[in-house]
Amino acid sequence: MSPLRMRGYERREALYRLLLLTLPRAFRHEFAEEILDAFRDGYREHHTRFGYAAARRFARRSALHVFGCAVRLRMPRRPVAFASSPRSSQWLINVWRDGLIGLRAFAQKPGFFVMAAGTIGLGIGAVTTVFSVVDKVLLRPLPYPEPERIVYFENSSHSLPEFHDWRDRTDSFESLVAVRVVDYDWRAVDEPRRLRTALVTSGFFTLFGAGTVLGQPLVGPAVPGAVPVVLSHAMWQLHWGASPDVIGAQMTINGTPTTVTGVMDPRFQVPEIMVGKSIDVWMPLDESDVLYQDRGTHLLEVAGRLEPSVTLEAAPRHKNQSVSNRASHEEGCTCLTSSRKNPTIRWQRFADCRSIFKAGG
Amino acid sequence: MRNPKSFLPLNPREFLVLYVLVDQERYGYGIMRAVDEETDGDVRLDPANLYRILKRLMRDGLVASAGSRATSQTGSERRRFYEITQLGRAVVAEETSRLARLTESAKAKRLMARRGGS
Repeated sequence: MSPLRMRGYERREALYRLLLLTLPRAFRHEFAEEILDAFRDGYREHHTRFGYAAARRFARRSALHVFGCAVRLRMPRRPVAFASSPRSSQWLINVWRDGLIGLRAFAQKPGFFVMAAGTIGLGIGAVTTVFSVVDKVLLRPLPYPEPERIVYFENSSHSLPEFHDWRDRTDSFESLVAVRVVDYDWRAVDEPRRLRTALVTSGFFTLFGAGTVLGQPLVGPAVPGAVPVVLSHAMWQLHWGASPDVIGAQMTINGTPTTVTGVMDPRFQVPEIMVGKSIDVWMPLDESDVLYQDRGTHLLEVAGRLEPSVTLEAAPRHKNQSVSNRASHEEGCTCLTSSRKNPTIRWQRFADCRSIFKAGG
Repeated sequence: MRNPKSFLPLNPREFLVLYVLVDQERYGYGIMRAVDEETDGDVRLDPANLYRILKRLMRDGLVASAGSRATSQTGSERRRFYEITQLGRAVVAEETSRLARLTESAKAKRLMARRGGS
């Protein structure tokens, strides 16, 4: 039977020829054609006597052994005697000997070697992954100045009057900020787009140490008629081609004319626990908007920076004294306490809010 | 001629290759098939490792090339044949004696499995 008429032979011979390239050059030049002849004879006989499946097994077995043969041909037949070597080079000899033993084991049982290497690889990969997550979530500090002083107000969202109560009537916080995330329309040049917009109260950028690469961050409260907007770094690159002329550009966002006053520093990592993963633009929260005047309309996420002298553990008492005492006399004031028995509002250290799915850093 | 005992103990596969060449010259796949038959399929050489072994045996002077010719199995295709040398024969004989002594010893220790229930 001609080799060309044997089922699957040409493809297997081509693969086998490729594998023979792993053999040392001198050995290949001397024996490659004979090895191929033996491969062809074996395939032909298996195909003729036992059928295609047997020929295929023969080809597979032969191919698998080529690599082992290549390794053996490159190894000294017996370990070299190193007894007379100086002690200083003993470690090198040990490494060499271990390498030879490893290669020999690989040549003898390639399947086991691959499985062992795969297991070790998987183990290293798993440990690396776990460490990466633990490092990011637990070990690495949040990318904000003095993150241990930043606290986050839990219990869902809060209303603007509540925020005002806490901001104006407590002395535990150096600053308190609120943010609301909304999807606004932007009438772009080509087509309308949705912008994930963070509406922030004054001091938000300062509290989180956010800087800009162009222009200024939002520093003061919103001023009617002159609404500033700060672009995210990605938005600036995507829609303005990272042009510095963006400062002063006009944008009509949700029907309101705005002016670009800054571009966020790409190193600033948004506090995801408050605003989610990505923000396109940052705008000041219009605290005069009638939408926010109702004490029962909870739309804001709140965070604060503790005074340097106030610890997280002492803060509840501090606040109870400063707020609750007044609250008992002033109608409408929101009681602020972190007591577990009376958990009107709970807060915790910002760093402690991190989790795998709400990593702030 | 080098002392045949200096080659002992032989690698089992080298021994088998020499062993199947004792009675006749063989070409590459012929050696593989003969080893397979002699060992009832327990030892199956592959082409690459067969020629690695042949190269070593030729280097040591135990095997020599016996020229190329066509075979009944390959038709018009020519194959290079290999033959065992005088030294190779002596080495196989020494190795066989060594294995025989070992076998006798194993029998005395009742380590040999009974075959065919007899």
